Amino acid sequence: MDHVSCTLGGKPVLRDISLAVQEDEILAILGASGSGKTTILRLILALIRPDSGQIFVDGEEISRLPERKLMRVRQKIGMVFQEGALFDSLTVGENVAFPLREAGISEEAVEERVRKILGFVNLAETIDMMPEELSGGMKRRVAIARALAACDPRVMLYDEPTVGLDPITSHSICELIIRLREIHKVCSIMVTHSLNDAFKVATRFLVLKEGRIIFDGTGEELKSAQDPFIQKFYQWSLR
Amino acid sequence: MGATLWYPRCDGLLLSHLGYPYMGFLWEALPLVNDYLKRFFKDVQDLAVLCFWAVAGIFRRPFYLREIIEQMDLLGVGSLPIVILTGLFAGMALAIQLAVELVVFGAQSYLGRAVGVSIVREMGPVLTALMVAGRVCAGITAELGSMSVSQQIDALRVLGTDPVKKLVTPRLISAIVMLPVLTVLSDSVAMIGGYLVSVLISHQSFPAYWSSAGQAFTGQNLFGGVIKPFVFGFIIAIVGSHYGLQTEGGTRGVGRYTTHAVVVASTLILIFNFLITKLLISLYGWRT
Repeated sequence: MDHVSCTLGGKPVLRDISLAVQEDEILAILGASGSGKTTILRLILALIRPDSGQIFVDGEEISRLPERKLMRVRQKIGMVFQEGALFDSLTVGENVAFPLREAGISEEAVEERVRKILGFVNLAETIDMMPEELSGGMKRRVAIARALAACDPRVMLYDEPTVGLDPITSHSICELIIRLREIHKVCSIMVTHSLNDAFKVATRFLVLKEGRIIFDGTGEELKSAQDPFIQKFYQWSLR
Repeated sequence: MGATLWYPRCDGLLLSHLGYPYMGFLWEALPLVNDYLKRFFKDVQDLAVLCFWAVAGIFRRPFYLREIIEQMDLLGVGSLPIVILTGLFAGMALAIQLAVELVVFGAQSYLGRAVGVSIVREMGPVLTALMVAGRVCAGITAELGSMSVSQQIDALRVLGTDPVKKLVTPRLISAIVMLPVLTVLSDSVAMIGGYLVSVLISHQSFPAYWSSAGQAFTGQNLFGGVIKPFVFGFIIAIVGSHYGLQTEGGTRGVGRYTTHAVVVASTLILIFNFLITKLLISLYGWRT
């Protein structure tokens, strides 16, 4: 992202944001509610457009691309929404198979890939269940499976992947994010409130305050940061 | 107080204090009118864009045949009971009213024709469309609205699927195909309702009613009776989808947008009914 600013509903949400995420890196974006964390993910997916600045995905500038060309760009990105955003009229298997069927892949290949991916997230037995029958943690894992099925993503985005989950389930989601990086070598961006979970998975940390980046560095640097907001955020998050 | 009178304030106090209270009120209302007009024209623009892409989706791959058939079943078969009941009772009520009035002029023999013309030209298409708008338009907005607030629409876009093509086009096709079919069924049932009244209350014979009714079924009347539901189906699908895709504000927003969609669709149906009627009369003179 190169000098990106964004206004939503007449209110400036991001101000002059510049950041780059390398392959094999897990970036945790931290900050208070309304600081613009999720907006960064929505901009990377081009679900919204910036007021100014440029956004590059895999070297391609996307902020001015028309919607039809964006479909191709989005195939390089996997997204896990806050509540999973599973299609509630489809079974778990159909949810994971959705992007494959849209791509016109044969039914045999779809079935094989769906079983393989659901096995990867340890949910093979839920293939015929409806999303409403799943717990919060299972929904997030199905959402990860669906994102993986869509393509072999170059970038994975996670919007509060552990919010509202118990510590054990949160831990299993964090482990899954780490496994994804190790096996698929994807670069990941995770938006979270939970500093505990961020320290488990992230290799780099970014703190937002009122739409501006006030910290960009490693976990050790975050712990020793002198900014009063970061210190307060750090102390309160680990309570 | 006097010291502030000269100050160019935007809240209308200056004009009110100078003895123009109504102008002060107008000045205060200007920003509201400005906001309302902006929202209105933005709505119209978004509707026009949605219409374009939904219609373009009919001719572009992939074709979602399964979704189209599902929607036809939901919209068409699902609306049958309500449409049949509406048609039956509307036909009966209309026949009673007309029977009473026609007796005054000694024109009872025209009952079938009068019922037929009223049903085929106006009441059948409009009543069917309003009933379907209440049921289907609300359903479309609620379903797409729930998908919007739970980020399922965003998920579709992220997965590389065009939500308009996947969700709106199948609903549009099913609405413009099924509403004319439902209207023809409703018209038929309404004519039967009129017949029941003519036999039981007006004491007419079977041939008298139906031979008179047959004169109402001219090509022009039937064309007008089918072209209207085609347009109304388009309105119901597009308005329902538009408000569904625009929904925000959680479950409360879903309720608000659903109500809004039904109100707008019903109003547009009545406005377009007048416009199409005017157009057809201009084209044909529309004599039976």
